[in-house]
Amino acid sequence: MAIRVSGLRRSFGEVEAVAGVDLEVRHGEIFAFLGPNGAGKTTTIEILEGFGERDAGEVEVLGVDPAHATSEWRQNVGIVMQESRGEQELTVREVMELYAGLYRRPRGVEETLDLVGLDDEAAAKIATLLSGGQRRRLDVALALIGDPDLIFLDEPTTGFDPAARRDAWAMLDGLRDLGKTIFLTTHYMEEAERLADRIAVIAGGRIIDEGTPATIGHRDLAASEIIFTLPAGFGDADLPEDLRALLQPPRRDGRIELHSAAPLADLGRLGSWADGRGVEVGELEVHRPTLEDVYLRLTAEAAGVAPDYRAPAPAPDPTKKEEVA
Amino acid sequence: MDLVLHVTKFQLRAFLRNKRARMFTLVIPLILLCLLAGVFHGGETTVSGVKIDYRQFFVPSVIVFALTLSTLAMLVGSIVQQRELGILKRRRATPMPAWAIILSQSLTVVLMAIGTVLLLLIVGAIAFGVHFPAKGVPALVLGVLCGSAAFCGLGYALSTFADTADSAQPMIQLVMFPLFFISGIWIPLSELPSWLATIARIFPVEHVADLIHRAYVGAVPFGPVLVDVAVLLGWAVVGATVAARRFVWLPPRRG
Repeated sequence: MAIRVSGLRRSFGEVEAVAGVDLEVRHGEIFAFLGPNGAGKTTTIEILEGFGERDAGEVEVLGVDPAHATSEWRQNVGIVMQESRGEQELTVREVMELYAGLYRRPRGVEETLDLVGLDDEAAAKIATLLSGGQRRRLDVALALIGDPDLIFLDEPTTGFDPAARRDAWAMLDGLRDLGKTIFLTTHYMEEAERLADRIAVIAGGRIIDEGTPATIGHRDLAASEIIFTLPAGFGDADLPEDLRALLQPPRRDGRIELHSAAPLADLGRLGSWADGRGVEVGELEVHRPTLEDVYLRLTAEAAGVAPDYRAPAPAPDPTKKEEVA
Repeated sequence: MDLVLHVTKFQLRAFLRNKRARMFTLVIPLILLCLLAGVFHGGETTVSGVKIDYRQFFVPSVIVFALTLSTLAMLVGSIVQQRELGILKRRRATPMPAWAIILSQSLTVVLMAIGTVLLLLIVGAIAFGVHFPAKGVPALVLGVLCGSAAFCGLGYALSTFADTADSAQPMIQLVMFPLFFISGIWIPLSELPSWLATIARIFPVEHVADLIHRAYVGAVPFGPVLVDVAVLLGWAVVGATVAARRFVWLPPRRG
């Protein structure tokens, strides 16, 4: 394990920011740590990075308790902070040389700039004059310059345009290929889905769920959404009995929504019903809940409020015994 | 120690490229020197019992002023700004030990200060004919080194009382201006009311001024010099103690 956390607690005054967190991150994986603002994410990361104190719990990062972070340990840990504006009045290349000199076995400056996609023109610029995307690349390059085994990436693509985000993802894939362990936080579920091997969601200082992007929140077991319109003269009351059982409350766009655990069979029923009446089903969509749907449901449940969208709850899988979540 | 020199080299480069740093440490002292030494001359005042021309009073005064600006003010400003921008946290996230980071920051401003002092010495001698006596060298060196130690210690302590570079500036001014006024660099201590002079002697600026003024008149008796050095090192220790208890590396939390 690259990171092992158990029973981690940290309070600030009356507020328990971290209320008993358990985590395990394996060597070489990209681990996404998700949660709303104020959920205890930053506090947890700061403790893992050796910058925060804790009240209770066991923490081991690369075999060492980060509360006693040594210079040796820091050789192997790279940190990309949530927000930084670069060193003043130094060019990108100079900043890289400055930081490279602080490590025993640094990566090459040019090679690292290459890896994050900063070209010669960018390398000659004063670091504070970079564009947002370039500055973030520099942040990542600075975290990589010591050739660490473990990298903390705090919201690496916040504020990126879509093209820059795709580039960043390709870069992170490159890090995965180098065998680095990456601890990632992000507010972009698409990013977590695309990059993460495993995901943990924190809310109210507790881990509320953990799994792969495909299985978290029983996403693999969750009902699919079937959405469509019926021509004038037909309403949802005209649907066959077994489809009516799957009906969801009316949608704002007026379409009919069903939640189905067996979408192919239900679509078949819908098709033969429509065929039999010579009715065309319009604007048909079938999809599984997105990671974002699942995330919003999990965090809303944890906050004890009803989600303000209607993501499907886990449906009983007909082929498996019903699981109680 | 190699790490300290490595980082200092880059920080000096960044400082020399920074307009505000050049303004504070070089331009303002030079303008002041030209104004004061150019306008006030012919009059006489007394420093350490020696009667001297106003020019001979103001050249060392500007040196003390510049030393304070480029150590205390620049250090507080840069620490607070580096903390706010997350640079302190990033440095601390490297294998560089905390003491090495602190030492390299202090060394950077002290080297800048020494450069400025030398420049003012030369300009004072060439442009205004205020020559520096050879027998004053030890007192000058003591003044610069002990003064730097006191101001760096204080700088680290003061840096813990400001969150942002914006709030650091007024705080620095608030601390420095009264000290300049009462510390015998704009108005000779012999012309201040004695109670004010007594207060001034508690603080470090007066003792740096005493050492450097004495160096310029070449009158450096052992006893008063020892007192100056002791008070300055005392302030360095007080500053370092406060800083050790209060110093934070992380930027202030948003929200």
